[in-house]
Amino acid sequence: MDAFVQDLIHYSPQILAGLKNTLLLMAIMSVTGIAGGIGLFYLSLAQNRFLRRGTERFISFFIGTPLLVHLFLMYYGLPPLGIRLSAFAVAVIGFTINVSAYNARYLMTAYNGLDKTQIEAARAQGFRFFQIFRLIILPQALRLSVPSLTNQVIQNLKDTSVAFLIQYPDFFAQMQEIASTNFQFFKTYVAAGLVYLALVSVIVAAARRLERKVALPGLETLGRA
Amino acid sequence: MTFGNILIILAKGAGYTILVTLAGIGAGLAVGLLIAVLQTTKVKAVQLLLAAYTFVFRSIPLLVLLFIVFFGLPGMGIRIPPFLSMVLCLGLVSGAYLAEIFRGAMAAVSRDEITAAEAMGMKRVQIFFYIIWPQMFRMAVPGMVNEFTSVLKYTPFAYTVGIPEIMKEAMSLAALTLRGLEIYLAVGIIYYLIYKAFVLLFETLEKRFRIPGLAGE
Repeated sequence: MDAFVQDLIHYSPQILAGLKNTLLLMAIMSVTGIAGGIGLFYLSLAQNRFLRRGTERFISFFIGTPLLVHLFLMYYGLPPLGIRLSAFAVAVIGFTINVSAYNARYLMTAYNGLDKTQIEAARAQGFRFFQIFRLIILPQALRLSVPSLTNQVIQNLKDTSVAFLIQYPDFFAQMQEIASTNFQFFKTYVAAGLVYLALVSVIVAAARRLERKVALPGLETLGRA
Repeated sequence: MTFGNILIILAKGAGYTILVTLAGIGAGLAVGLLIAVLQTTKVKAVQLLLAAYTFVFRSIPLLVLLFIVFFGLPGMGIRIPPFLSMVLCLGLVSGAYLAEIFRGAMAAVSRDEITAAEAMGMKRVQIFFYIIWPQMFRMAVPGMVNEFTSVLKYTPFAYTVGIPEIMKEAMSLAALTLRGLEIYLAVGIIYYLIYKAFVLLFETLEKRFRIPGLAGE
């Protein structure tokens, strides 16, 4: 058998452990990212002008700066202050903020496309703002941004590979370690690429199903980002 | 060392960051346009090949691609210098995304205008440069700006192949002074300023070339 394939089989427990870490991180940040995105979206619609502006600045800052900087800031910047977070904790916090900012933007774009007379009507009926948000704005905005939100999940999977730069033992970190022992850099990294390709294909298939499921006749979804 | 000193030291790396970004954008535009133009041909094999290209390069993480190109290819006897590796990877990936943006913009150009141009006896190349390009370019601007800022945000990966951009400077500075918090905060601020400058630049360009009545917002 090819020595490279034998290597992969030999290291398979390590590879699978890495894959588990990658998928775990992706799953966590996809969920927390949606929750955080909804939270930021709510704050950016707030009545209070300062709160609204502050949220907009916050979103803009995290969209405008590289993810790696946020991770390094927490991973290398906090320990001198006595705050020592594990690579996993840093990855979860950093990714959550980053993904939340993007998701909030998608929801905002969807909101801008909504018919605002609905909101006036709701207000005239005596709905409070939170009720309007929960019952009228959010269900439509979420539905309209499904393609963007699922795209973000794919982005999340790809971004987990960045976590290896802060020593999180994800899938790519394991492949990197294997490559540095067998010196088959090309084959090992291409194999890693193929695994990402396969995982993305699975997510894309699931996303298409979800899109069909939540589609309402007559309510157009926004173009994908 | 004050925070201001840190900012000044790191700003030296910003030159490389901007250079990598601009080169990456240039490569991405070249790849994206090429794909968008090739997609208009009706040959099935070409269509399939291009679809495979965009799928592959939108699915593989940039970091993995960079490692394949920079650390993997030398084993196959192909040695690409760090800067070129980074630009190549940025071009391949952002090209795949830009191709999709261009395709959408091209589809939005009215069929009737193309038919009219054909009736006037214009050649395919003429139709592309005089009818399709001026319109699709303007319609693609918002998507393009988005993609360009993504390129900027991918540039910190360049430190992994040894390009002395902001991130690399920050890491060596942090190792020396152990003041990671201030240093990476400064890095964040510099990136944000570059990001804002890029967005502002593209917005001004967009306004300059905007045609009233033509959808573009």
